[in-house]
Amino acid sequence: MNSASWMQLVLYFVVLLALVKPLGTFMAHVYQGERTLLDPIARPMERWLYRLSGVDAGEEMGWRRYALALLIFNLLGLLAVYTLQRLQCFLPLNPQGLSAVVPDSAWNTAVSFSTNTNWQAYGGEVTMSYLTQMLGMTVQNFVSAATGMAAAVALIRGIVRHSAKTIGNFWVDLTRTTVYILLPLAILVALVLVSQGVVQTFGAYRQVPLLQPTTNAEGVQVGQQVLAVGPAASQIAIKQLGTNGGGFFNVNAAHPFENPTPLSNLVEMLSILLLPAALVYTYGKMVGDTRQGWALLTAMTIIFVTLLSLAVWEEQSGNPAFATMRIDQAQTTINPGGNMEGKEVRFGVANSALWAAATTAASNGSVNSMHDSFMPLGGLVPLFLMQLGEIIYGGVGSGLYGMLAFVIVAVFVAGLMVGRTPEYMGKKIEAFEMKMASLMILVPILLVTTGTALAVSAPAGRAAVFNPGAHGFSEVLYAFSSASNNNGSAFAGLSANNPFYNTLLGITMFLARYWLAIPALAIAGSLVRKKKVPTSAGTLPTHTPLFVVWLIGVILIVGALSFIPALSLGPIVEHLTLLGH
Amino acid sequence: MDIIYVGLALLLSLATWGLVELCSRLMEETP
Repeated sequence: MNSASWMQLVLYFVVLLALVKPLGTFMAHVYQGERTLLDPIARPMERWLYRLSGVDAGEEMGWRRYALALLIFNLLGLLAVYTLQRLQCFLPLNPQGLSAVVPDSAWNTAVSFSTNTNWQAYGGEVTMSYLTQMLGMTVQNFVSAATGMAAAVALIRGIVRHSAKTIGNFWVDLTRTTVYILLPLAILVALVLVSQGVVQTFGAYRQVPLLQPTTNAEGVQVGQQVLAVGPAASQIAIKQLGTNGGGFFNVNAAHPFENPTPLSNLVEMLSILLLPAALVYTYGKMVGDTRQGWALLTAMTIIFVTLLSLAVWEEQSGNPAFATMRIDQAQTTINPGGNMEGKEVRFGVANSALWAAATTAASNGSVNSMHDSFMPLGGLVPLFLMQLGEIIYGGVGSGLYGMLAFVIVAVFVAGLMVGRTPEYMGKKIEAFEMKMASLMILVPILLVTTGTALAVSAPAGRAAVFNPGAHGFSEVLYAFSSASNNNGSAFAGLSANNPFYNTLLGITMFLARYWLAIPALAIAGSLVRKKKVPTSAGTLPTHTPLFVVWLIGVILIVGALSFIPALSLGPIVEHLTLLGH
Repeated sequence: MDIIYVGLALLLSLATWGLVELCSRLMEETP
């Protein structure tokens, strides 16, 4: 790897980690109802929204009411996106005259966007009207992200408060997240993206003359090309910040109108991990001990950097099969070298591998290269990052509550080992919290393995796999790992836009979202009732390097025990086969 | 087909509310 690639990787981490503290502090102020810089603009908007919707901002909710509000709001969002897709042919802002989306695809997309997954079985530019993209996709990009952050904040309150019954107000958390955090950041990022050439227009698709006229398969000369455009920048900004990931165009951030320059690439990659990483610091601020946040962030970063290094190494090493085809994989000043299949030349190996790792660590799911074309072990990295439960930074909010489930397990196991009652942040961790944390860890594992097994067993599932053998298995495993962890990226090579996959993946995405959020809120409801236990000599410190190592061990052991058998049938056997050649 | 998918969404939501009830009962029963 050349020095420019190294510098870009280092620059990425330096900027990301530098932004964690200021943004994390700001978000803590927002969630604690304290004064912020944005108050002059955001507070009137917030009050207006409460008046409009009849919300009493001072009213507190118990965990069951909070969960009910979250569920109803998201169900209504799902139904709204479904209806919008089915009726788009009768609605305005459809200059291409696109027809109604078929029911199974509309179902899959509605669940996908309302659950913050953004798995896309459709091609945006040939399926969705501008109105559907904006009112359906973009709105859900905001509110699904805000839902995850609200649930995480409710869990934090459960940890912070004691001898209480309530964990906040869902409507207030949802509104404040959107108005104070997501909207201002999205406007800022959208403007930067527009400055780089990302399109933002309501105009119809453009027909332009080709610079090099060509002939098509029928031998007819082609001198013009249709260029899909649209209000892309505004959607892309929030899709990255909200760890949504659904592309305006079919090839997502590999499209030059979504991600034209190295700077737009850097900004979009930073946007992917920015909020999940900063939220961990927010957690530290809200619990009154920032060392707790740094400990979690350190554990996440160590796992991320280790897996990223494997992906970069694999991709930069190139493909041994290409050597026999005389494809030049040597690194020179003008050639990044390595395995460039499925990668954009303007990004090269390092930025493609970094994006692949970031997007799958953060349940984002946008891509700037085709993961299907990665080397077997390079492709294993995004797969494994999703299978760890989207907790390495993770989705906005969902990553934090997922990581806290692992913390509870780590604390509980450590307590068993030394024969003391486990405690975390001054609260006793007992059977109920362990049951809920176990549910949060086991549900995605069950969904991945069961969904993959069903798909490779059913004729309809097998018929959609284009590649035979281990690689085809990896494609199915990737699809269910993505849906079961609300990621949304695809390995490609799987023709998933059919009733079988659309329906099954839709059910998977729904359960993966709410069957984790509900136990997280239940933990909040349980912890908030408990008394604070004073720290004693027997309390396990959870901010030390020892605990960080212990937590990493628990995460990797759970991930490895659950998925190494499945990975062995896919990328690992493919790697060994390639070595044999 | 629309009624099937809308019904599926309602069914899954109902099942999820069942999970809320289950968690709630577990919380009360767990010592």
